[in-house]
This record gives sequence, structure tokens and C-alpha cells, in this order.
Amino acid sequence: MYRTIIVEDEYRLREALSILLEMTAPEEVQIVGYAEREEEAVKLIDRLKPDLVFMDIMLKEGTGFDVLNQVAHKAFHLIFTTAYEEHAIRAFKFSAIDYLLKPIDAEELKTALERITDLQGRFLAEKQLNELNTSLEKTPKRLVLPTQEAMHVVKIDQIIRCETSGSYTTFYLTEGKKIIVSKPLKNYEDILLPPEFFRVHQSHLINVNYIISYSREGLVQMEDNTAIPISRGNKEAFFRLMKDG
Amino acid sequence: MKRCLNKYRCGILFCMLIWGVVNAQEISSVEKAARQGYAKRFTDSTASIQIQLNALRLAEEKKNKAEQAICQAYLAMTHRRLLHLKEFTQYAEQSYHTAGATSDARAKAFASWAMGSLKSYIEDKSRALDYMLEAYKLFTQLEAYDLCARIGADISYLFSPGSEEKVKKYADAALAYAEKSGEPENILHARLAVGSYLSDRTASGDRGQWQEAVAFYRHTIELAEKEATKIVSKSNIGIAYINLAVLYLNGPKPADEQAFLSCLEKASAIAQQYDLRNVYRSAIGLRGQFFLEKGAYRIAENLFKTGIAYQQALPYKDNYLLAAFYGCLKDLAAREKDYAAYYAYDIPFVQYNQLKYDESTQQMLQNADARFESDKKATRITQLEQENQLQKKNKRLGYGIAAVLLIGLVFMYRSYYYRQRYYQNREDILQQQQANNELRMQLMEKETLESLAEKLSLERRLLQSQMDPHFIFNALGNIQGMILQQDTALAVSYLSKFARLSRRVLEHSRMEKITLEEEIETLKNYIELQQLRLNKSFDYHIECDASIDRQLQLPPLLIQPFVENAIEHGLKPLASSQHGLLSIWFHEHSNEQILVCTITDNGIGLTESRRRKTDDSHRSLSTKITDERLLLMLKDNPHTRLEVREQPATDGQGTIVTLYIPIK
Repeated sequence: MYRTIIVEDEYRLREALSILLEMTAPEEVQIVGYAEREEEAVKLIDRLKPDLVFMDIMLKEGTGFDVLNQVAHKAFHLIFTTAYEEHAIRAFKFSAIDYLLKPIDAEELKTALERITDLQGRFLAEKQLNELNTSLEKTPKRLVLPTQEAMHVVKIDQIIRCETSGSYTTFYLTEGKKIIVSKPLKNYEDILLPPEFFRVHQSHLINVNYIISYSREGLVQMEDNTAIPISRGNKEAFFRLMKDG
Repeated sequence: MKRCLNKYRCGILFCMLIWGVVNAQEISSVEKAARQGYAKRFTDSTASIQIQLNALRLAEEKKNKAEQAICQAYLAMTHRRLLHLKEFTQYAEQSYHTAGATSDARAKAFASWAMGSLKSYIEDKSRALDYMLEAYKLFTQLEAYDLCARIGADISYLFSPGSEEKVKKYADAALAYAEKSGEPENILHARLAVGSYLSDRTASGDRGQWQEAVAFYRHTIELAEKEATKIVSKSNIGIAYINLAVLYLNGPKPADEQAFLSCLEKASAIAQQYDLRNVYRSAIGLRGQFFLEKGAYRIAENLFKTGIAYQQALPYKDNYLLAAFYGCLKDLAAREKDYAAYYAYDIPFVQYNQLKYDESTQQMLQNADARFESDKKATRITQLEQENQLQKKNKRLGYGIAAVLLIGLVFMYRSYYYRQRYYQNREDILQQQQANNELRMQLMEKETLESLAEKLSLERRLLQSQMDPHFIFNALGNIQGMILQQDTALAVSYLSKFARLSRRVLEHSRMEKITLEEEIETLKNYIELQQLRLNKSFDYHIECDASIDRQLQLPPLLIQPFVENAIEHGLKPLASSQHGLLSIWFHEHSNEQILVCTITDNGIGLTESRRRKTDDSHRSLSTKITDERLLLMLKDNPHTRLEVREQPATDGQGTIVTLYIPIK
């Protein structure tokens, strides 16, 4: 049973989330409090020490990020809720922080809660929050890759390529390192963007800085001694990028 | 003096000799050979034909069409003599055909002669005359007098009976030409023609004319006997005798029987000597008839029997002659009332008469066939010639057309080429001009384009700001909340308001201008949605001065961002205890081209808002864009202006935004 606080400045959205939680996981979630302003939220979290916080970004006063930076108690699972904040979403992805889009989808909510259960009491890592803050301020240089064991912070320029198999994505890094993440490649394609990164294939996202050679036939030789195929649909765009790059 | 005369005479002789040589030179060696062969036709027909064939081969080797035609004509005439109708026809037609392919008058003359002879032989008189007259005309032009004489005589015979004048004219002419050529052969031939019409004239019974005719024949025979060695056609001599004999017999009574019989004796002697069947037959027949009439039956019988025996001894049978002789014997037997003899003579007579009849029918049919074939051929030849000419013409026409086409093509190509070059040049020039123009335009419009691009990107961002995704998803989130709270009526009302606003914003974003009324409606729509979302934490009112035309045009979606700002950053952060108020006022300006809009809220105010710095990027977006728009409008109208200020402290918190909007 997660003792839960909802930080949300709009009364009706707060109600909507409450009802959805009631519907989705009545056994697991117990709502212990609401907050709609920054100050209020900080006080509530520190006082009630919840296991789970749903955090809106835009508050009547201040933001969700401000709240996180002020709370003393940090041993809780965090799920951001947002209507539409591109910048913030990008930051969440880089720091591997969970988020839900409003209006909230019941299925997504359920999946998010299941993920929390999987983490078995391992809460929001300090380095995730650090990465979130730097990501919000400037262009991210690092990426958080959450695994069963740990939160890996990876320098983006050390990623050679990513390969997907179903809902997992394998990161091939310099010095032969390899990290498998239980997130689809699509998640990373949205943040690892051209001109550094290019999706050459349905299953492959590569860092063009690690290309040794490429052939007209559509094979890219990478520095980790692998040959990555370029799918027909991506060839033209790829060659154009190579030329212009 | 005498010497001089002699010299002169010698000169004339020499000249004549030269003329003779020149004349002889005109006739080619091939023709001479053919003529020599032709001359042998009576004595040795095989050799004659052989010589002529050799001549023809020579002509063919020389590829001399004219000579070929002449040789063929001679061959035709030779075969006429031999009664070989098939070969006669063949060579005559070949000759005519060959001559048709040349322009040689002599060859044409020979060919016409051969054809005329053929037609004459097959008893097609009118055609024969056409050809003969053609040949005669040509030979006259060529001054070939020997041949003129021959043909003239032939023409004379062809006109007889009927055109006595023409018979005389051509016979006389033939004689004149024959005497000119000086050849006894021709002279005799021509004299026979003349004698023929002279004999015919005696039928009238005029004694003078008869004497003239007899005298003429006597002279002819005299000449012929004198030159007998030079005359190849011995039958003509025999004919002369026979004709004279007939003249004596038909002459004034009593007839000179002695002269008559002596003539016939001479004739039969010549006929026997040279195997002249016609002459012999005539000589025997005439004498037999004569003695029969006189009642000297034995002499007559002997003559007829001699004739039959002579004929039977020959390698071929002249059925006509035999029938005639047996007929005469039969007649004789009838006169003697010797019926057994009559019956005995009747059997061979019937037999030969039948054969004669068959022969003559056959001959007639053959002639008719030959005529028909010849006509057909002639027609075909004419057709072919015409076709040939047509083909030639067509060919010429074809070449002409081809040439014209070729020239046309050349000109077309030239014109095409130059036109292409012209167009190319023109295009090049146009392209250069265009490039220059483009460059100038680019330079000229650079500023305009830049401002346009600015405007366009602004428009796009404006649209985005108007229908702020954050606002959209928040609205949807609100609807979700209402549904989950089971406040169906509210959810439906909210949803329809949201739909209406979305539609209006979409429509207006595509418009240059909208009416003030439309703008006010949209604002109301927007504010009411915000009211619902913020749980009616504020009130609003929109005022519009009565003097203002609600149909006036203004840029769309210009005011909304300031209203949004007032709500999100002024009214929303207000403590729950404070009730918010938003008022919008449209009023006049001293300048008629300006509409003034004042947006007032009693929210937390600018200073406080900045202090709290809630999501700076978002807060500034709408107003930033509208600032830019107003700035652009300022370029067109210097009165465009935006004023943002806090309410005076006395009136408490809040912000006042004043927009000066260009409306013209």
C-alpha cells in the first residue's frame, strides 16, 4: 500500500486522478493528501513522508521542480503529471524519471504503478534528480539508463549505438560496455537526435561519430566492429546526412 | 574544151561515186549482211535464214537495237516468202517491238514494213495500210528509194481494188523511186504494180488503154529479160508474162492467140526452171482453159494431166491447184459426156477440193487467229508502251517529288535548326534576363521577404499560442475529470464550448481580418472555458462603446493572449479567498484608424508574478508573440501600440494592458 500525495493545482484534474487511482489500484494506493501550491506541497511531503508522489509541473505558485528541490524527505516514488511541456518531458527522458500525460490514461497509470512495484523499494536516485536539473537548464550531456541493478548515468558521446529487441533496448558503449534497458528504442530516438544520432533501421539507432565506413549497398561499419544494415526507407536521408555532415 | 568537159564529167562521176559510197556507208554492215541473206530467200532459204540470224546475233552482241529490228524485219519477210506464218508473225512483232525501244527511224521503218506485210498477209488490209504508209513515209524521209519503191508497190496493191487514184499514185511513185534507185529488181516490182492498174483499167474495153497496157508489159518483160540475172524474184518475170498473156486473152477480139500462148509458154518455162508454183499453175491452167474452150480436149486434158503430174512430183501438195486441175478434167469429161471419166475425176476433185477447202478454212482461221493474236499483242504492246511511258513519267514524277521532298526537308531542317538556335538564343537571353530580374527582385524584395517570413513564422507561432497545447490538454483533462465525477451535464457543456472555440480559432487563424463581433464571441468562449476550469474563481465582463461599429475589421486572435496572461498569471495564482475579475473594454481613439482595447484584471500583478517566476518560458510566450505582431503592425501604422502597466496602488493589485489596434 503506497501512501500517496497528489500535487495538482487544478481541482478537477486532481479529482480525476484520485478517481482513476481508486479504479485502477484501490489496494495499492492510499491518497493521504493534496497540494496545489509549491510551499504547501513541500510542507505536506515533509510532514506526511509519502511513498508515492504525483507531481504536476505548473502549480498555482511555483513548479513541481521547485518542490523537489526543497523537500527534505526524498524516499518516495515520483511520477510527474503534465498536460504538455516538451522541455520537461525531454528532461524526464534523460533522467529516466517516470511521467504521465494528462488526460491520464488508466492503462498507463497501471503500468507506471507496476514499474514501481518492480523497483522493490528503490526510490528516486539522487543522480536522477541531478540529471533532471541539468537537463532542464541546458542541453543534456548525459543520459540516465535505469536497470534492475542501478541507475546508470551515461555520457551521450560514449554511446556507439542502440539496438532494440521488442520492449528492450541495448546500449553499446565505448570500451565494450553494454547496458540493457526495459524501454523501447522509440523512447530514446526522441531524445538522441540527429545530427549525432540516426535511426538507420527499425532496430538500430547509431551515433554517426562512431562510423568507420558505409557502403552504397547499405551497410554501416561501426567502431565496435559491427555492421549495421540501413533499411531502404532510411537510405536517402542517411546519405544526405552523411554528405551534409 | 573537150578535155574540160571530160574532166567535168569525171568530176560528176566521182561525186556520184562518193555519194554512192556515202549512201552505202549509211547502211550498216549488219543490215547489209541481213539484206544479203534476204536476197538468197528464193535460191537457198536455209542459208538465207542462217545469214540473217548471224546478222541478228551480231546486232544483239553490239546491243544495237536498231540493227536488231532491221534484221528481225528481214527475217520476217523471209519467213513470209516461206509461208511460215508463225515465224513471220514472231519476227515482225519482235522487230516492231525492238524498233519501238529505239529512236532510229530506219529501224522503225523496217519494223513497220514487216508489220504491214504481216497484216497484208493475214488479210488485215486497213492495218496493213497503216503500217505500210508509216514505213513508206519514214523511208521517203530517209531517202531509201529502193525500199520506197517496194513499199510503194505494196501499198498500191493494198489500195486495190477501190481507190484507183491511190493505186495509181503509189504505183507511179514506186516506179519513180525504183528508177531512181536503178535496181532492176525494184523496177520490175514497181512496173508490175503499175501494170496491174493498167490491166485493171482495160476492163472498161478502151482499146487505147489496152494497147498502152500491152506496150507497158512488153517493155517490162523486155527490161526484165535484159536484167534477168540481177532479178532475184524470178516469179515477177513469170507474173509479167502471165499478166501479158491474160491481157492478150482479154484483149479486143479476136485475141492474139499466138502471143497469148507464147507468153504462157515462156511463163511456164520460167516457172519450171525456178519452181514457181503460182506461175506454173497459172500458165498450165490458162492454157488448159484456153484449149478447153476451143474444144481441143486432148490438148487440154494433157495439159491438166501434166500439171497434176508436175504437182504430184513435188514434195508438197498444192491442194488448190490439184483441185483446180481435177475440176477442169471433170468439166472436160462432162463436155465429152464420158461419165465414167467424170466420175473418176470427181473422186480426187472432191478429195482435193475438201482438202483445199479445209486448207483455206484453216488458213483463214489461222489468219484470223494470227490477226486476233497480233491485234491482241499490238494492243498489249500499245498498253505496255503506254504503261512504260506512264511508268517513265511516274518515275520522273517520283524523282521529281523525291527531289522536291529532299529539298523541302533540307529547308525544313535548316529552318528547324535555325529556329532552334534562335529559340535557344532567345531562351538564353530570356534566362539571363530572368536571372537578372530575379536577382534584382531578390535584392529589392529581400526586406519585404524577410518581413514576410517574419510575419509568416509569427502567424504559425501565433496559432500555436492561441491554441496552446497546454490549454488543450488541460481542457481535455478537465473533461475527463467531469466525466469521472459523473457530472455529465457539465462535461457536455464544457465539451461543446471547447469544440466551438477550437473551430473558431482554426477558422480565424486562416483569416486576414475578422469582425469585432467575432472577436468578442471568441473571447467570451475562451473566458468561459477558463472559468469552468478554474472553478469559477473569477468573473468577467466585456464592454464595447456604442459608437463603435461591431462589424469593423481587425486582425484575429490578437487580444486573446493578453486575456490568457491575465487569467493564468494574474487571476489563477490568487488565493482562494480573493475573487477575480476580468474586464475587457473596446473604445474609440482620437485617430479613427485605431481601436483601443483595455484588458484589466485584479490578479497578483506584474511585479508579484515576476517575483514568483512561475514557468518563465511559458508565461512570456503568448505576450511575446503578440508584442512581435504589434511591432509588425507598427511598421504599417505608427499608432499601433501596446501598453502594460500595473494598476495604481490605490486600486489594489492587478494589471492593465492597453492595445492600440489598427483597423484600416
